[in-house]
Amino acid sequence: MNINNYPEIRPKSKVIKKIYVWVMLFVFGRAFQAASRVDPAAKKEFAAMPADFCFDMCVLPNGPHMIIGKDGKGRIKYMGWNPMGKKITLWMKIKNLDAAILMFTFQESSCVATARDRLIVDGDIPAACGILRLMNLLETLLLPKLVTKLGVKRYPRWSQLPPARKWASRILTYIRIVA
Amino acid sequence: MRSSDYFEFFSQAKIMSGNRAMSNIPVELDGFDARKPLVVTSKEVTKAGLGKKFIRALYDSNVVIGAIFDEVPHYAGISQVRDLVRLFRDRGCDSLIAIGGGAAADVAKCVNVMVSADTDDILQFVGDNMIAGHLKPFIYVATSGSAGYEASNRATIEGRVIRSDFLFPDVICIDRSMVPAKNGDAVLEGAMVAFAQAVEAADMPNDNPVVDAYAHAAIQFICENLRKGIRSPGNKVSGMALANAAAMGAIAFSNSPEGTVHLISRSLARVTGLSESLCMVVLLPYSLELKLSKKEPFRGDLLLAMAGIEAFATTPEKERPRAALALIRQLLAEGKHYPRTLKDVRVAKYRLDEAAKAAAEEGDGRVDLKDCMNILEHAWEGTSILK
Repeated sequence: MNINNYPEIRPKSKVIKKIYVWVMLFVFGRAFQAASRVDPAAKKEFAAMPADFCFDMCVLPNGPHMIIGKDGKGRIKYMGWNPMGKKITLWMKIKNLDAAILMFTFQESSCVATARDRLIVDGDIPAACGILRLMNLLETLLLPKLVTKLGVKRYPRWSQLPPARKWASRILTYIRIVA
Repeated sequence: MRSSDYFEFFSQAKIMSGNRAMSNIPVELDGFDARKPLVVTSKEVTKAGLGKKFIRALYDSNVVIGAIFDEVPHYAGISQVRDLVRLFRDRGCDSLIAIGGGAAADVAKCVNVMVSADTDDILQFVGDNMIAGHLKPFIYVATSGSAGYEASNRATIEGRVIRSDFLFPDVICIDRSMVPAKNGDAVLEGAMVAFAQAVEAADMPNDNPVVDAYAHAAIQFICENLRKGIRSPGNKVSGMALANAAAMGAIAFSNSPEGTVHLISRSLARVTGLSESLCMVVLLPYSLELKLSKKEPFRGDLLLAMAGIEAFATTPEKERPRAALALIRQLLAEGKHYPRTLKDVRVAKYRLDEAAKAAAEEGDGRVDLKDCMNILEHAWEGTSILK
């Protein structure tokens, strides 16, 4: 047998998918920061997080990353995509790029993705549950109802998220993301 | 549910099944601290484009594929295993992946035994429990062409069987994109082998509730999806169900002693050169008929797994085994071009005697020579054992 007939193969990269996930994580990171300032439910959820809270959502093995955390004044801040030098207290690792695409194209909701073992959580579980609740809230605020319904377990009722609050938070969050 | 005073069950395989399951392979390999797998498969798999799908699933990972060897024929040979051991060592691989059923999985298991034990003699491991320690990480990626033993604890090399719990794959990956089949007969054969394994495992005298759980789930999956799978072999939903059933059937089979159908099929395959899977499919109904004729009926709750609670509840207890047998015959009739008798596959009648003797000898008292001959003769003619 000539072993040269069976060459070593280095799998390539899915560039477009990677860029899409990077953009989505960037938007979500900015939205986390914005919602923590304008939405009362997000404020309350983040207030319960410890003072040194630093969260990294990434795609294994080489990223992209989204890092958010509390700054010295206790405010939530989007800290970019480079985890080097940051003291991460909660990791949420998506096992592969395909799983990230399923999540961020809303083919699988975050709850279904968690149930299907597409995520690895390393850190405080209650904080991770809080982050998932916040992600659901952000999807509700940022996306039209038709799309959000695909991404969340249950779309909030009027009593849970009154239209006035939803639209106020939505507009202010969008302004803060862009600004 | 029947309870047992004592039972054992072992399966080290993690089953990953569903949409994009293959994309999880890099994470699983990382868990074993492995980065460079040797991939073993057959030409049919690469021709069907499944090799490319596999490589694409590994994009954006730290895994480097040591080599993709796609020239495994329909049987596992020692010289090929030796060549692959050399390839594995030369490339500095640290794990094995088999894509597709039958010989590819057998070859990968044998290579794994040799590289893990650092030896060039595979025959020293032939027999039961001859492997002394853990092997290198081994992942089996299921495709439609299953011979039934890929997910089990055994490997066959040149007609010799190596059986050890260390031979279970570490991960069984069943991906939606890999399971569509080419034709209905391949679907029927793969499913009925799993069916035979599950039926024999569930019908063993030692009641093992975990084996029953695996076997009944496999039977249920097969009965619910086989017809759809045969009519539209490209259907991914039925393909997934049947691939899962094959994995469960093999695990159940690994945890119970070999039954009559397996023993006779193996010896018949050796004597005639036919595939063991085909022999099993042909012999299964006759083996069950023999049990019924000897008034040692097989378990009636087979009907529960096959036909559901309503049919089970409305069938009198004594008639359940017969009803289950009738359903098995109906399932086999779905394969319109599939051989029903040994005469159809041109087995010479004088060879049956040799096969029966070999099976009785290997069975070590578990099967009777007269019974083996009875099953084989009726399977050759295609006549029922029941009067």
